[in-house]
Amino acid sequence: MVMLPDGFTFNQANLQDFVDCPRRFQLRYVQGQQWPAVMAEPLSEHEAFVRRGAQFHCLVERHQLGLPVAEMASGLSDSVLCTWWDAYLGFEMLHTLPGERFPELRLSAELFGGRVMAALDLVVVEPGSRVTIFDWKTYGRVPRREWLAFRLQTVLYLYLVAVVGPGMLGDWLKPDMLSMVYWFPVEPGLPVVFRYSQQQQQEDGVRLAGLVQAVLGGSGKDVWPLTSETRLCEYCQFRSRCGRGVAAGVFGEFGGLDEVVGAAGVLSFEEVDEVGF
Amino acid sequence: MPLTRFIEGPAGVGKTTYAIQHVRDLLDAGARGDEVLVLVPQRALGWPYVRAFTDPTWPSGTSIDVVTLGGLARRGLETFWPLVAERAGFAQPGLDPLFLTIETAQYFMARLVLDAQRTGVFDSISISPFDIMRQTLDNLSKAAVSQIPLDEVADRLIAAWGDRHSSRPPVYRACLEVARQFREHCLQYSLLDFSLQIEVFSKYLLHEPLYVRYLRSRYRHLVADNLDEEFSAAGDFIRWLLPGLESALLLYDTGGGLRLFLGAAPSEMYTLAQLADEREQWRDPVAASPEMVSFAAALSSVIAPQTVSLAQADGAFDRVLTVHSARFFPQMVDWVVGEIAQLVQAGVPPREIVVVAPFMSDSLRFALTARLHEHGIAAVSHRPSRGLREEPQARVMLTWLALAHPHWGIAPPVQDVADALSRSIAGLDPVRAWLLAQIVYRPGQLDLGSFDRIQSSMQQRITYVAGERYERLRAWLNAYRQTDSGDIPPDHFFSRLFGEVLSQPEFGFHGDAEAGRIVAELVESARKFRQTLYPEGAVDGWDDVLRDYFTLVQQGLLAALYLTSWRDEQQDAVFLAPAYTFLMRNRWVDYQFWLDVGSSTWWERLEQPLTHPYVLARDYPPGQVWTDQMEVAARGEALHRLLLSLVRRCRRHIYAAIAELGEQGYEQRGPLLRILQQLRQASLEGRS
Ligand code: SF4
Repeated sequence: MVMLPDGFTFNQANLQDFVDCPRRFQLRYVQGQQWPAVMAEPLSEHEAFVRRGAQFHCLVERHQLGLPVAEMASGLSDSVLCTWWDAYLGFEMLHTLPGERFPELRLSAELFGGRVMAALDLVVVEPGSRVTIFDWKTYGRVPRREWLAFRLQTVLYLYLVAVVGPGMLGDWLKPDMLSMVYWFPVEPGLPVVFRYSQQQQQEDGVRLAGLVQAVLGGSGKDVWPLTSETRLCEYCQFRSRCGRGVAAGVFGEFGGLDEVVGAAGVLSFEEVDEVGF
Repeated sequence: MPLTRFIEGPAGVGKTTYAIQHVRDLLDAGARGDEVLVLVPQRALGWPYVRAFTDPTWPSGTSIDVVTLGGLARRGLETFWPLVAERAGFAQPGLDPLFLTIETAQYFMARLVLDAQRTGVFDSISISPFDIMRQTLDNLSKAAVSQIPLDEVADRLIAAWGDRHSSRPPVYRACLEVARQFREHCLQYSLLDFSLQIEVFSKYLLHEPLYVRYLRSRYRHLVADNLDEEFSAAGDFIRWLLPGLESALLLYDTGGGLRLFLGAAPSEMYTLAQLADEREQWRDPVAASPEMVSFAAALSSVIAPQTVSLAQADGAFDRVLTVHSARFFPQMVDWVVGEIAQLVQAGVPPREIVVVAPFMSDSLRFALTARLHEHGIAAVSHRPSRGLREEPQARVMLTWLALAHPHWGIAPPVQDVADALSRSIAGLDPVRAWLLAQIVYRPGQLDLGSFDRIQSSMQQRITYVAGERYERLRAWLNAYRQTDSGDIPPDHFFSRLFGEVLSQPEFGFHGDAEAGRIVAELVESARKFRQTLYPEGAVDGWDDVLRDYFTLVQQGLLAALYLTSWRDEQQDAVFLAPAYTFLMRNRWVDYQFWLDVGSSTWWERLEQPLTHPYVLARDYPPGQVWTDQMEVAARGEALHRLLLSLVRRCRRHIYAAIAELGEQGYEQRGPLLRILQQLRQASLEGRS
C-alpha cells in the first residue's frame, strides 16, 4: 500500500497526473521529489504564461468580489492582459447571469476512501434553478471539446458539486441543473459548455473511484509504470530522471500545461512560514 | 456579541482535540466550512487541524481556512491590493505585491547591510552581515506585530541599553537606518516582507469597507488556538473580529509563550479571557503519566518555588527521569546513542524518540546521525536555514556558473573544480577528478581544456567513459557561452544545467533526490532574487544579475529556504532538533533525551545585540532601562517555560545527559544541571 503524505488531498491536477503517467504521480506526490528541470522552452515565455494566467485569475476574482473596475484597470500595463480583461468585461453570458456568486470556491469531500478537493474559479448559483461552474482557461488556443470532456477537471468539478452541492445549497440541486463553462480569453466568443446529468454523474463516479483506488492500492516500493505516451515526457520535469530525453518541449505546442504547474496536491494552508525558529 | 469561550490549560490536556470536535459540531449544526476561521500562530501548530480536515472521514463541504495572521493578511492583500496600495504609500500601486520570506527579504537587505558595514558603523560589535540582516528584519517584524512605530524601535533599544557603553546607540541607529532604506525599497516596488504585510493589513485593509464586509460576511465562527504564542497584532485582530461572529473558541496554553523572543505576547493575549462569556480551566493532562505531572511540579518547585512547593511534587518523578553523567562530550553522545538503540531494540518506534539541545551544532547533528545509522536507526534533523554555499550540490552549480562566465574573471580554486567534476560525472572518483581538474583547468584561463588533448596514458587513468561525459558537460558550457551567456537569469541557468546535463543518466545528480532538492532550492532562491531586486523584470541583460547572485551566495549572505518537509515529520525516525524547534511541532513523544544539560546555553538567550524581545514588546515601558536583574529573571522564566513544555510533551521517560566537559572542552555547571541536582538531593532526602 502506498503511503501518501499527511494532509494529502486528491485534486484534478494530481489525478490528471496519475492518468497521464503513474510514475509522475509517484515521483511528485508519493515521494515528493523536487526536480528543477525545465518543463517547456522558451522558459521565459512559459514563465510569462504562468504569471499572466495567475494575474488574470486574480483580476477576475477581484471583479467578482466587487472591486471597482477602474481601480483594477489602471494598473494593467501588459497588453495581452489588457486584451483579456476587455474580453472578460464583454463576456455577456457571465455578466447577465443572475444568481449568487462564489469566486474561488473550495470544496472538499470524501471520495472512495480518499479526500478530494477542488478550487473552482467561480460558481454562480440561482437557487432552485441552476448552478454554473466557470473556469478561465488562458491557453493560447481553444482545445477540442472531447479533450476537455475527458480531462479530470471536467469530471471532478461537476461530480464534486453534484455530490457536495445539495448539502451546501439545498436539496433542490439535481445533476441536470449543473453545468460547467470553460471560457477562453483568446476566443471569448467560444466558451465550451458541459451540461451534467444523473447518468454522467454515475459514470464519473465509477471513473473517479477507480482512480482513487488505483492510487491508494499502488505499491509502496516498486516503480510505478512510466507513460507510453512519450510526448508527455517532453513537458515533464522528470524527463532526465526517467531517461526520457534532454530537451524540453516547445511551449505553446501542448495544451494543459497550466494544470501541470504548481499542482502540489498537498494541502498547504499557507506556503510561507513567515516567522520561524 | 458572540458566545465566546476561553479555555486555558497546560499542553496535553486535550484543547486542540476538543477544538477539532467543536468545528465538527459546528458543521453538524449546519455551519459551512468556509464560515469557520481557524487561527494559529505558526504553520506547524495548524497541522492537527489540517490533518483532521483532510481525513477521509471529515464531513464534505466547503473547505475550512486554517491560517496564521500573516497568511490571512497575505491573502487579503493579494486580492484587495488595488484598494490599499496607494494609500499605504506604495509608489507603483499598479504593480501587484510580491511577498517576501525571511530569506528573500535578505536579497535586497544584503546590499544595504554591506554598504552600511563599509562605513564602519557596525565595527564596535562583533556580528556577521548575515546576523545584521536577520536582526534588522527582526526589528521590523517586532515593531509590526507589537504595532509600535519603526522610529520607536531605536529609541526603546537605546533607552533600555542605559549607560552601559556609548558605542551601542549609534549601532542601533544604523540598524534602524538600514531598516528604513529597506522599507523604502519595498514601498517603491510593492515588495511586502512580513512586517509590511502585518502593517498594511492592520492599518489599511482592516479599515477598507469592502474588505471588512467581505471578512465579516465570510466568517461566523472563530477558533484561535495557542494564543499564548500569538503576537499583539493577532490579539487586536481577534478583538476586531469578535463582535460580528456567532461563536469564538479561544485556547490558551498555560506555560506556553515560547515564541516570546520572536515577539509573542502571552500576557497580553491572556487578557482576551476578559472578553469571554465562559471561561474554563483544564488541568489534567490526558497524555502524561502521573510521574510526568510530578516531574513538572518538581521542576516548578525549584525554579519558581512561589508557584509550587516541593512538598506538592511527590518523588514519583524519579521513575521517569534518568540522569547520566559522562566526563567527555563524545562519551555522552555514545551513552545517548546506546540508550536509544536499546529502546529501539525493545520495540520502541524511532519516531517516539526525540533528542533535544538548546542549540544543535552541525558537528553534533552529524555525530548523532552517523552513530544512530551505525545501529540501523534512522534520524531526521531540522536544520535551520544556513548559507546555500554550505551545500555541496549548490557549490557544484556555482562552480559551473563561474566557469560559464569566464569574463567575470572569477577563477574557482582547482579543488572546487575537482569536486564539481567528481560530483557531476557519474563514476568519476575524487582522485581521478582531481587529476582531470589539474590537467584541464588552469585558474585564469578562459576555457576548460579538452579531454581529447590529454596524453593517452592519462586518459586511460581517468577512463574514456568519464572523459566522454566530461566532454558532454564541457560542450554544454561552451554552447551556453556562445549562445546564451548573460541572456538568461540565474534560475534558468541552473534549471537547464541541471535538467540537460547533471541529472541526465551517466551524470552525478541522476536519480539523486537530495541533489534535486538542493538545486530546486537554489533555483527558487535565484528566481526570488531576481524578482525581488528586479521586480519589473526590466534589465538589459542578465549578466550583472548572474554575477551579483553568485557573489552574494559566495559571501554566505543568501540562505537556503528549507521548507521543512512533511516527510521529515512522517518518517519513522529519531528527531534531532533544537528544543524550541521540537516544541513548535507540538508533538508528543514517549521518550526525550536532553543533551548536554550542564551547558549554560539551556538558559541563555540567542545572542542578538541589535534587537531585544522584551524591550520591543508592546507592554514594555518605553524609556525603561533593561537591568541585569530583569535579564536574570527573564532567563529563569524562559527556562521554566521551556522545561515544562518539554515535560508536558513526553509520555514515558526523560533522559538527561551531562558532559562534564562541554563540546568546547570546558567544565560545565549550567543552571539546568543545578536544578536537576537539587531535585536529586530533595528526592534522596525524601526517601531517607
Ligand atoms: S518523464 Fe515521462 S515517464 Fe517520467 S514521469 Fe515524466 S511523464 Fe512520466
